[in-house]
Amino acid sequence: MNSFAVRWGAFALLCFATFLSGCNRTAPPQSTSKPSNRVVLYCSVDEVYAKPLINELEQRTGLRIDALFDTEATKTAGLTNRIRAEKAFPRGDVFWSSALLQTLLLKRDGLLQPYASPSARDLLPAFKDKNGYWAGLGARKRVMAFHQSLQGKPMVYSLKDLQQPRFKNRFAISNPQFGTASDWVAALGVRLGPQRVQKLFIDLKRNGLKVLPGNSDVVRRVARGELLAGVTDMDDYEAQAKRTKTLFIEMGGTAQPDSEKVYVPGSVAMLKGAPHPEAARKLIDALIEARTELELAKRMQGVQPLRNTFTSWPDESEHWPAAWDKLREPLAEILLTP
Amino acid sequence: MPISFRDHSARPLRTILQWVLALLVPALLWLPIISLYGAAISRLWREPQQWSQAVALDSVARTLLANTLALAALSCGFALIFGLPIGVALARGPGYFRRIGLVLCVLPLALPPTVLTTAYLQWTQTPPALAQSSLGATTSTTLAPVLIAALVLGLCFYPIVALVVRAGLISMPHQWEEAALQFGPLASTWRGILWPHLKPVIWGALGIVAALSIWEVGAPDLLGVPTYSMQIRRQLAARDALDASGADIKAALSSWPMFVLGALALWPALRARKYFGGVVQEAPHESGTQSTLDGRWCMWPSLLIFAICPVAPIAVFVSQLRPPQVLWETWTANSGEIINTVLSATVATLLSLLLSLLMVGLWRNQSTLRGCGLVFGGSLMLVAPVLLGIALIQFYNRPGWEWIYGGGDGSNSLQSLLMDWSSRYSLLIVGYLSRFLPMALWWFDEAADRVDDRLLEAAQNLGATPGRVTLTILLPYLTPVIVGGGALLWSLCAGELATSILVNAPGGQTLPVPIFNWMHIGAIEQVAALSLALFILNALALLSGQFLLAVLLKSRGTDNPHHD
Repeated sequence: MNSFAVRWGAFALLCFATFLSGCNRTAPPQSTSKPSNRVVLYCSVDEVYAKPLINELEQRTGLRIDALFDTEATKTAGLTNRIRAEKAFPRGDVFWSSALLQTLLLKRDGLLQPYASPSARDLLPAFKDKNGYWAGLGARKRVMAFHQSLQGKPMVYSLKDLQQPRFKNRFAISNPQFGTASDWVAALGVRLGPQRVQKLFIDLKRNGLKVLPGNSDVVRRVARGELLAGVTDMDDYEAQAKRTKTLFIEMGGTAQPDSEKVYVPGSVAMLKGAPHPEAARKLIDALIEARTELELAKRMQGVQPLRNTFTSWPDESEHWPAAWDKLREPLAEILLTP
Repeated sequence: MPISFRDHSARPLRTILQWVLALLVPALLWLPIISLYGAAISRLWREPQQWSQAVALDSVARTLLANTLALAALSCGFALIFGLPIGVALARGPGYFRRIGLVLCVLPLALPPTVLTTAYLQWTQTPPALAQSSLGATTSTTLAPVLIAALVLGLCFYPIVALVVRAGLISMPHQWEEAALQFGPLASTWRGILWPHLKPVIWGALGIVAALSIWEVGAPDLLGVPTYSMQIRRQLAARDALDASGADIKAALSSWPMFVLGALALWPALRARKYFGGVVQEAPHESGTQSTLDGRWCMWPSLLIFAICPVAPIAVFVSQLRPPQVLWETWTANSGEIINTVLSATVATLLSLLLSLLMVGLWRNQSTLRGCGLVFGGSLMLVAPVLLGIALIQFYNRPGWEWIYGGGDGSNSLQSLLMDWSSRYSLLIVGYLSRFLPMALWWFDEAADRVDDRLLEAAQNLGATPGRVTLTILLPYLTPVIVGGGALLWSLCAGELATSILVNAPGGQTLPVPIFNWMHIGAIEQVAALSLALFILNALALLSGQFLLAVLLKSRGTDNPHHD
């Protein structure tokens, strides 16, 4: 038995050594073959919504889209950290995010490459990068959801109003370290200034602000009556409101300060060093065109198309990373320590 | 001239080659983990002030460890409560119950903890929680979610306890009980005879349950129980770790308690491994002999437990399919995931079986090599699945490993296309091998250890080639392990989440990942449909293995692979 195993093992070792010797590649070969139709998409949009859209895009474009989705547990942060980890040898081609801040941080870190897609021509300047590093795809409004017990009572339109005694220990936001909450905080930082934002959250914390893991968690607890109010995304509100009648929102109108009207756009960008650049461009063109955006808005309630919803919007997103840098640590200190 | 089977006084080169071949695969599987810890230690060497931050257990870490230990202990308790009566019923119950019960007992293994948790959440209409660990919780969680999570894990893992209790009971000669009853009352017979015989078996099974509970990620996360494993996962993705290599290192350093806990949990299993490997020989039983432990009174609790799991979760999934066509639509839309699951689990299982056979064959009759192989290969089990995923990405994400991570150069050449396909599954398969090859190694070794060397030697002395000896003598002893162990390995691979969630490649996602993700966003119908798909695949594998094993043993006319 031993010699039998030794012979076969030696043969396997020889095969393996041969395999290893063919693996080494120090520089990308100059291939004369036709480019493949494969494209690798890193997608932080919820898979259950993104997947049917991706299947449609495959049929429409003829591309073979290999998608990698992030886990719900870590939101976009996990996927972007993977992109950073692969910086030296990129594996992904296109990054489709459900928010914008992470894309902007990737751009700042030199992990994106510009591509001015013709499909983005009809987007407002506020919803695309002027050099073509990213383009917007749908947007979600940050809203305040309230429990039905507040109906008929004096309304709340601003975050400052949540300092009222009736809301003590009964209101929440989602963790600003992850997801659209970080975009929201960055936008507030640009509009109000980091100092005012910090003061605002200190005051809210004093009134018992709760920080929950996700937007859906916030809106569920408001729906159950455990909380009176919570800041969440419109799509999470819509999803919960379908199941229960115990929620409502106030759109605010002119009563809500403009500084607190925040829309978080989704974004599509091409990764630097994308191994399949032609296919990546083709995918980006298809992703951000108007009909895809409409399709996304139909599937994800609460997501609004950028093209028909906005006639103008302040072009401030390029300042979000700087605002976020100033707010990230202080907010973690304020909100996440007891 | 006949070659003595025991002639291993061979050339040194042959011995060296044996050592290299036997230890090559475990070495390759350990490389990513060693590389990660090497980078971690190197960083600590340069920045010694980080030592205390990285390694010391702060209050959050202690809280999470306490939650993890509580979860493991309670899971063991529930697994024991559910598994013990079933094990007794399967060993001592009526024949008809033993046949049906064995099938029903295996089915919970087809329901990974994440899937069973989704059934629970759907049944109770409870929205999934998100673990609080990302918020730096400093207070313990309440008892209720820990109890629920432990109950779910207990329902998943009770077959482990039940099957080894059965194995322990059927291997014990009834004459022992008979003789003891002559000299003492029932209670002292149980205390003096049954308990010493079953104690190592039960402790071993509970050790495995504890280890699986410690490493589990999906179920505690969905149920809102912050555990240490999940914290490691979150540290990797934490926003404050913009330096990705720093996050890897931090996760590696802070995962040392998982090694310790895993080793402590698996130690009893190691000592009782004879009940986990091979086919346990049923002790001769004369009809009419008296047993102290009658399995009939365990039948009814067993049926109740079977109704709770696996029957009830399946009923829950089916009831959630509204409208019914969502089943077919979801399966069609996720056919890629189904194919990925089948392919990767099959390849990983076949490789595990083949490599285990090879290694066990190489170190046979070489006690030192065998010890090294078992320790080196078996200790891979101590690596927390989450850390394994981190190590694999960190190691293979570099030039030269495109077949495993990354894929082709974007051209339409055959090599590039093959690399694309290979990279889709390779890292996942390596992850499965790292997790489950140690189990296969222990099973094969245990089964091979029962083979009488004199049989092999006699065959060789009569002129049989080593190959023929393997096929006609050794392989029949190992066939039950290959069939039964292969089925179990397949279902473990197919249901694996903790490593897959990190290493699944673009286009290579397997079923547990979308089940876990979609449950968080409340896509109930789709989760039910995918959970059913995973259950059916696992159940087919397990039941096929069970059936083949029964046919195999029946064709030989005994529980032993050879007639004596």
